[in-house]
Amino acid sequence: MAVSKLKKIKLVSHNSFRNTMLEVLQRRGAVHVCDLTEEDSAGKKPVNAQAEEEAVSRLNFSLAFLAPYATETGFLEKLSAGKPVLPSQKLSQLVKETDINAIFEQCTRINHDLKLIDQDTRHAHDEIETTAPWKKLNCPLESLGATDSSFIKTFFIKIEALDGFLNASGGLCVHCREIDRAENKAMLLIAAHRSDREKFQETLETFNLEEVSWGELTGTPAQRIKALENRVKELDQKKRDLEAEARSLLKNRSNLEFLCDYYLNAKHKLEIQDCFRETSSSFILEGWIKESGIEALLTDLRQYSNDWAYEILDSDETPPVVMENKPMAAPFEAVTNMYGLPKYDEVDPTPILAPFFFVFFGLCLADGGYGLILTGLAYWALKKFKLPEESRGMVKLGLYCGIATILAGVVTGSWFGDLARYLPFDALTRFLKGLSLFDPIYEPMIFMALALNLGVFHICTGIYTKFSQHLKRQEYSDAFFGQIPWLLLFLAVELYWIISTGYLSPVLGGYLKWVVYFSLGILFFFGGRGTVNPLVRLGKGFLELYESIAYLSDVLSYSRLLALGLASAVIANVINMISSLVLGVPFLGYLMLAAIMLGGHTFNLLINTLGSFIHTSRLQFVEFFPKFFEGGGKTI
Amino acid sequence: MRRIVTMDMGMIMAVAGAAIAVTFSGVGSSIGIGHSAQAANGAMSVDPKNFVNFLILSVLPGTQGIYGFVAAFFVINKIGLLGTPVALTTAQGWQIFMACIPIAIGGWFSGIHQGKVSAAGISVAVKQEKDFMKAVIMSALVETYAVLALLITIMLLLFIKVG
Repeated sequence: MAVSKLKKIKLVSHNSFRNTMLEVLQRRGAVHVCDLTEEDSAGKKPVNAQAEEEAVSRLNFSLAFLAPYATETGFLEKLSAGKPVLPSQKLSQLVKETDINAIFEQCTRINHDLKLIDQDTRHAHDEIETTAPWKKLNCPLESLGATDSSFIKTFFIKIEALDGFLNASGGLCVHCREIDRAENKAMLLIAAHRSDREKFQETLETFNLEEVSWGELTGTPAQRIKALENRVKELDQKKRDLEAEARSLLKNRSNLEFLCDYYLNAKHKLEIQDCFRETSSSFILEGWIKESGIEALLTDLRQYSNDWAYEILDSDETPPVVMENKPMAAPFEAVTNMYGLPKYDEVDPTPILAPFFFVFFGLCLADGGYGLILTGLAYWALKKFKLPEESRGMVKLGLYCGIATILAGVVTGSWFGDLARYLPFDALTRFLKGLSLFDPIYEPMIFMALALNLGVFHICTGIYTKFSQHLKRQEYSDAFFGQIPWLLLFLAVELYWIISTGYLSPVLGGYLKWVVYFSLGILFFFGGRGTVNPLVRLGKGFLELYESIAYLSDVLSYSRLLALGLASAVIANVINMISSLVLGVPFLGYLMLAAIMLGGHTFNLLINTLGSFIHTSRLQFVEFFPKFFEGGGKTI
Repeated sequence: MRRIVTMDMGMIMAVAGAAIAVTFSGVGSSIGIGHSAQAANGAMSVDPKNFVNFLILSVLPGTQGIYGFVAAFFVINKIGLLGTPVALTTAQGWQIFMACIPIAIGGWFSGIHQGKVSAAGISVAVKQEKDFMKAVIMSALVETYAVLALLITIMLLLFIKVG
């Protein structure tokens, strides 16, 4: 029901037993190995895991390369299938038979070739684009160019400038032919004699002609374009062939995944030996192990050999933290994990926050129908899908929260909002209403009072936990001067409230007055316990009283339970109301009703479940934990 | 005509009070969460594993909107809109309107500024992961004033005499 007790264990063995021992340790996962060579490297032998590392990286590359070619299995199929399993003899066979390097080289080659093809295709497309405007030019490109006395070149000119250019060049010794027009440009083929070179150059510049040079290219533009298109087709075909080759490698995919796991484990096994102290023929390892797991590990090791020794050490060091909780509270570890693990000597907050989380979540969502859906989904997911360990916790949490929601829904009489009102089942409606205690929309004050009182109870639990922690650590002054006054104050406030509702006699109020004065007095005079200077002491006492504003803020924060509870109920009611309006439409009415109900309630469920989870967690983390919990425990 | 308008003025102003309570505090929360969630998304692009810390910091400025909602519900309850509407005089309507102003304006500005503090707290969550609760406490310092505003709104609403 707490942080597990860990002990330090020292194992010594002969090198002949090394591999078997490592195998057992890795399989059980029972020992958190400490690095013995951290502070002094006596007996440290360098570890070479390079071969394994290279194998892992090659496998990862191949898997990443093949991933896009795989046909995607549906998400649900993947969940119900779980992770693939391979028996260990088949694994050793696989390791011997598979040539990782060959597969890696094949993948690298295909990858490289595909990249080159992509590049070439892009170049070809670019060239087609630049050549395309000149389709109608029938002279071969190698014939364009310059000689000593003349030149034939191609130019772009803006259409507006065309007439002006033609006029201007009329007098010069040039021959201009328009090849084509496109958008706002015209393509010209110009043959000119060099006699009027400067004037012609000027004219070219005045009218902003852009020269297009063709370099060493041959053939007419049309021919070039055809050649390029053929090339693109060729490249496409090659690409398809390469992709088919990649797809043929897919059949190895699951084998590669198994091998990757194998080599990773081998790498870890090698790397962990970096933490051992060694001599030429033996080695020592130290680590943390759960007290409850010691016997099992020793029995397992004894099965193989007796050539080893162990010792349980008394250690002053702080062990890493492993949480162990009863099955009822265990799913709520997910919430504690979000915040951080408790320190080794701290109390595990999980079993304390569990009932509060349960109740608060229920109040936030508070709908029988939604609760049934949540519980049903969670239960189905747990049964049908082989979920990995980490997700199981969260789904179980969802299951419990679903049950809480159903209970809250029964209490508030909310089943998909006020759906019961629209249905003709009077008996059912009356039954459900009979079960309910209050309607949050019409009696929000009751809900508010419930929320705030739960808040006070929650905060007082936190203060009490801190109180008992102080007692355990024998910090008596902190316990009695620091925590008890606040508990008394909260108790007094609660009693005042009960008096105001008339259930207790006002005479009690007179006595409560003294309790309040007493508590305030202790806070004021002992808030600065430990300071000698009286002024500073009173100043600190005053600051201690200021904490009451923080407590007030904390209590008011619980009004969000009312807000969230109302929000989900009101939205559900609105959805029901809109659906009932839609029913009037002929023919399509029922269809629209179904659509709105389905979509609306799903939306409401999703948004409010998320909101409930977030705000309930926030209440634990911001209002509850800071009262007593530090966190920051080392993870294993 | 004038008498009818004057008679209804009470109800109008009371409803207006509920409206501004929830509107302005909602605006404050939206802008505040907007600031902090933008910062959180930026941080997540580099450090996605700390999502829960970012979520907590981002959602902190949301309190003001909830408080405004609660205040509005108090008003609705008080003026009896979900049943038989209480006959409010103009003076009472104005009183209710004024009672809603603390949470409206207080929630508005404290929400925005709490969002800015939370956004700055995202840096703490990224660079000093273990000290992230200190950033949360910093953000909660601003919330104190929203709490005080809500408290006064509720107290005023509880003790205004209607009907």
